[in-house]
Amino acid sequence: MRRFSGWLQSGIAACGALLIWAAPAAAQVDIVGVWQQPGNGVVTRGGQYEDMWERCCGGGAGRGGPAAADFIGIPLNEAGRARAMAHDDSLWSAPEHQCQPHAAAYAYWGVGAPHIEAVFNDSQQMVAYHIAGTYRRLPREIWMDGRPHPPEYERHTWAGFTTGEWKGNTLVAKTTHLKKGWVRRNGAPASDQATLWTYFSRHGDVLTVTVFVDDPLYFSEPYVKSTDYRLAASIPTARFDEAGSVSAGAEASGGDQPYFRCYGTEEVIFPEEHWVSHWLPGENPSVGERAKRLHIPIEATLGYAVSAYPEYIGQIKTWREQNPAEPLKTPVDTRKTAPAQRGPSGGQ
Amino acid sequence: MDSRTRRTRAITPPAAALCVLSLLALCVTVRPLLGAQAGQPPTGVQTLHVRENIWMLVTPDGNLALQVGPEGALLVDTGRNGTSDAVLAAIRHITTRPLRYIINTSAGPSRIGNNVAFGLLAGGATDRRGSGPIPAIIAHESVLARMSAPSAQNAAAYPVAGWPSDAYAARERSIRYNGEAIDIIHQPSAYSDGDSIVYFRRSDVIVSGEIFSTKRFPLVDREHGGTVKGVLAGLNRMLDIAVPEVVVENFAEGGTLVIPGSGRLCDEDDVNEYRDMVHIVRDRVARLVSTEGSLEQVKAARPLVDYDGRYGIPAWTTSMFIDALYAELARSTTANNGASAVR
Repeated sequence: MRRFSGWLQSGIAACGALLIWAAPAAAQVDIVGVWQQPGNGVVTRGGQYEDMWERCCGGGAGRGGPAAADFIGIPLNEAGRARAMAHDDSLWSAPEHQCQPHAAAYAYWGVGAPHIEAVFNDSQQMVAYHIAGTYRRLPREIWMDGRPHPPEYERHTWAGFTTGEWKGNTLVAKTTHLKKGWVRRNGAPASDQATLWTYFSRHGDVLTVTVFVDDPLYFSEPYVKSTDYRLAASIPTARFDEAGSVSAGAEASGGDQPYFRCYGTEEVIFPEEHWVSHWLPGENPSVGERAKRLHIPIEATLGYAVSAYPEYIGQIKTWREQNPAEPLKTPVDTRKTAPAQRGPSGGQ
Repeated sequence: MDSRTRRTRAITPPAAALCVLSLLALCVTVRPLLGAQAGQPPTGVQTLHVRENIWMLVTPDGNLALQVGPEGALLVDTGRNGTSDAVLAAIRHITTRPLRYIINTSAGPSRIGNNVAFGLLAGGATDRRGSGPIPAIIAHESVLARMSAPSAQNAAAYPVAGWPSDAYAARERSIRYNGEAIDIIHQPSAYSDGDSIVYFRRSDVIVSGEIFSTKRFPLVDREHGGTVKGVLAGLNRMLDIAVPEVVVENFAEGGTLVIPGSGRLCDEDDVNEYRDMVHIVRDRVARLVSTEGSLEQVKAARPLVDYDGRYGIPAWTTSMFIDALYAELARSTTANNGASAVR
C-alpha cells in the first residue's frame, strides 16, 4: 500500500507539474484601459513631461523633436552609425515617406494615448490585447493564445507581429516582422531584422512600458528605454463631424483632427523625381552641433553603447576638465539667462 | 478499509504512469502542432496566399507567383532547373486547374529553369496526365533572343520547348485572364535587357522578378545588358504603380502588394526602403569614383558598410555589387568627361 501511495503521489505531482507547465500563465493585474502620458493624450494635448526631449525641446529644427545627429545613449554599431549619419530630415518631405507611422519600437514615444482592449473569441476566452491610439494609431495585437510567429516570408509591418505571455505581474511581449524604422526621430535606425521585447508593468493607475530593441544589424547591444502612462481620468467622445474628415497630409492640418488620412503630396520641390535625401559619408553638417551646444565630446553624440551608462558621466566630466568651455565674450545679465529651477532629474 | 484506501488501491502504478504519459503525449503532440505550417505541401516549396486569386510560391532560389481562376492557372516564372516536381506539387496544392500561361520576368536561371518541363505539359495538366494544347510562354523578346541564341556548340542554349512562344517587343504587353487585366511591363536594362514587371490590376499585386529582393543587393547581369540605373528606374516604376492603403487605421503600408524575386511578401514601403538603399549606395560609389579613382580605393572606403550585413550574401557579395556599380559608374564618368556620374 505504501509503495502504491508513493506511485500515486509521484504521478499526481508529475501531472500537476505538467499541467502547470502546459497552462498559460494568468494575469494577476491587467493593462486594459485608456492610458496617457502626463501632459499629453486624449484629454490634454501638447508636450510630454517625461519625454519632452523627443517632442518639444530636444533641440531639433525649431526646437521641435530631437536634434539632428544626436544619438546619445543609443548603442549603434558601425553599420548603425553609418546609417544614422546618412539620415537627412528632408527625407520626410518625400511623398513616399510622408505617411510613415512610428514603428512599434518607437510608438510609445509618439504623441497619442494608447488604449488597450481585450479581444475574446467566440468562447469568450481572451486571445489577444488590442492596442491603438499611438501616433497615427498603428493598431496592433498582442496575441495571448500561443500562436506561433509567422515564417520569415510573411509581410513585415510597422506594428510587427506580437505574442505575449504573463510572467508574474508583467506582460512580456515579443515582436518580430517589423519594417525598418527608427528609435529616435532623427534617423537612429532599427532594422527590419530587429526583435522587440516590450514589458508592460502596472502599478495602480500607472503603466510602465519598457522596450528592448534587439537589433543584430545596427546595435552592439539591446537598446532599452521606458516610459510611464497614467490611466486616463476621462475619455472624451468624438464629434460626429470629425469622424470622417480627410486631410491631404495629416501634418498639413496640424494633425489635430482625431481621424485623419494621409496621402503623399508635394511638400517640397526636389531637384528630380524620386529624390532620396541623404548625407554622403563625412558630410552630415549636423555632426558635432549637439556636442558643442552641450559642451560634451563629439563621440558622446555618435551613439556608442557606453554613452547609455551612468558611468559615462565621469568621462564627460574628465573631458570637460581637459577642455574647459570658452568664457562668454560679452557680459550677460544673469537675471535674464538663468535657467528655470528644475527638479533633481530635470536637467540635461 | 476506508474509502480513501479503496481509492488509493484503485489507482495502480500503471495507471499513474499512464496519466503521466498521456499528459506528456498531449503536451508533446499539441505544442509542435501549434508551430506547424498547416497545409503546406511537403516539397520544399512553400505557398502563401497573397490576395484574392494570387499566391506566392516560395522556393529556395526565389519566389514565383500563381494566379488561379475559372480559366485555369497562370504562373509567373518557373523556378530553377530541376525543381519542376516540387513546383508542380505546390501548384497542385492550390489548384488542379490546367496551367495555361507562363510569364518569364527575365531569362535568369531561377526564372526560366523549368520552362521546358512546364512548356511540355500537355493540356497544361500539372499531374502530367493531360492532353491538348501546351501552355503559352510570354516574355520580352530579349528573353527569347537569349534562350534561342546559339551556344559554343552551335546549338541553342535552351531546348525549343522552353522558349517563349509569345515574345513581345513593345513597351508592355497586356492580357486579360481569369477576368483580370494583367500588365507585363518591360523594364529596360535592369537586371538584364529582358526584364518584365507583372502587375495584376484587380488583385493589385506586382511581381518584380529579379529587380527587387529583400534578401540581397540588386542582381545586375552586365553581360546581358543589366545596369544599376535600370534597376533603380524599375524600383521607381513600381513605386509609381503601388498605392499604400489609405484608411483610418492602416496607411503607409498594405495596399498594393509586391512579390519580390526573393524574400518576403512586400508592400510599397518595402520597395521604398530598397529603392532608397540603391539610390544612396549609387551616390556614394559615384562620389568615390570621382574622388578616389580606382576600384580598390572605392572598396577600401567601405561605402556600403551600413547595408553589407543586410544585403550581402555569399552568392552576390557586397564586393561583387560594388564591382558592378563601379564598372557602370566609371564608364559613365568617362563618358561625361569627368563630370559627376550621379546628377
